[in-house]
Amino acid sequence: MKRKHLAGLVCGLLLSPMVMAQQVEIQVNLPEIGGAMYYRPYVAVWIEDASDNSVKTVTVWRKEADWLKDMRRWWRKAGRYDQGELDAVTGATRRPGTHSVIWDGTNQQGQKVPAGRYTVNIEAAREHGSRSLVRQPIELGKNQTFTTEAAEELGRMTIKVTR
Amino acid sequence: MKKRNWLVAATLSAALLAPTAQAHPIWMLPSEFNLSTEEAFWITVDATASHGVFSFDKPIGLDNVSIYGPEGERRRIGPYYKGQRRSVFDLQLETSGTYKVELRGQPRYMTSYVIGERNTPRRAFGSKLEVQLPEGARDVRTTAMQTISAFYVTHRTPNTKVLETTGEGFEFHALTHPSDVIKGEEARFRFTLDGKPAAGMKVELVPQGTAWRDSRMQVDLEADADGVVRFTPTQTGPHLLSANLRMDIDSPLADAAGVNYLLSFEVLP
Repeated sequence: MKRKHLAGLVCGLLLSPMVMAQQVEIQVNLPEIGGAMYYRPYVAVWIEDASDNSVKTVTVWRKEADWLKDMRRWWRKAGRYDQGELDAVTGATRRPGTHSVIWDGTNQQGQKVPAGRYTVNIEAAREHGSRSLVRQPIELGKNQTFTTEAAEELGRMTIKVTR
Repeated sequence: MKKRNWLVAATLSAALLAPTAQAHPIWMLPSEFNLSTEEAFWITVDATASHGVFSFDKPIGLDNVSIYGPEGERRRIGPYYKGQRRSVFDLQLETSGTYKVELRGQPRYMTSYVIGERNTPRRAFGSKLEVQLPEGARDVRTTAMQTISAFYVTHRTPNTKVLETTGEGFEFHALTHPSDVIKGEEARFRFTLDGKPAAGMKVELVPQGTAWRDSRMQVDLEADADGVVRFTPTQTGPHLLSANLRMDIDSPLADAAGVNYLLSFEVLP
């Protein structure tokens, strides 16, 4: 019984490079802003397809649901439809700095998506602050690296697409 | 009546006390800032505690609202209402001149100190006379926190009676009359505490409409040595000015004053 489990684990480890073959790493950068009225921003990272339809919500850093709507595009495209599945991807708000987020090339249902054109979306909204949306088109299935322009609530970010 | 007063005061002070630095900004927004009508005219005012400019979040108690007429006389608040997300009151402007509407909270005393081998920072509420500190408290410092929210509304011809200063408490000196703030023209406001210039005070200025745009468009200003803040508005419409003063004071109750002053005014085209 125990051995069987172990075999399964080894198998999984051996397979993992293949499973990881198609992945996108997003280095989310939250700038240091400071001040007495600084609260950590709410952040959503999600993927849209070539027709701007949401494919998957990768990560949401949040507190109360009241302010999810302030990530306006994410809420309109994904948040207001994906309520049930949110728990798997949400976490607490993050401090300023760089935080790595991985999209494993799957859709909301966990199935692999075909190679092709997608858009990586990073949206940040801060109370007593601004709202920033960064969109980076990518070609899934190629090796690519992008660096995005800094916005008010999002610093320069690296997006790395790996075959 | 007495009970209601007490309840509202308690609600307001809870709002003011709420995790000190994180208290929501309290502001008022009138339906009009300038009137040309020849008769008496009613305006209506929204009052709320909210980070949005100008969007509603939490209602506030209205017992501390004071209205001053063009001769400096106290005037009565009209019909009022406290909802779940905002408070509303009306007021009647009968004679020509500039009126002042102010919501001036009582000072709340907060004492900070460090204790123990690791210098753990702690806070306690109460003035220097009231606060009870544990033995071994060090770096004890008491701050008198106060929130003041205000706006000015002018019926026909502006005057300056309600803008006169006394040299007591936190005061706004309208070097530019609040009914004369114009897009593209430099405006100058001066601030003092007990007559002393609020030198170096940090001031935030935000135009209305944060809920419907990406950038907060906040302009960060700093008062000069004489307590004067200068700015040239780049867009018209209502603006919220938020001044945050930290100043050492000579008082038996506190070592420093912390004032958050919020002024709503209109930038004219």
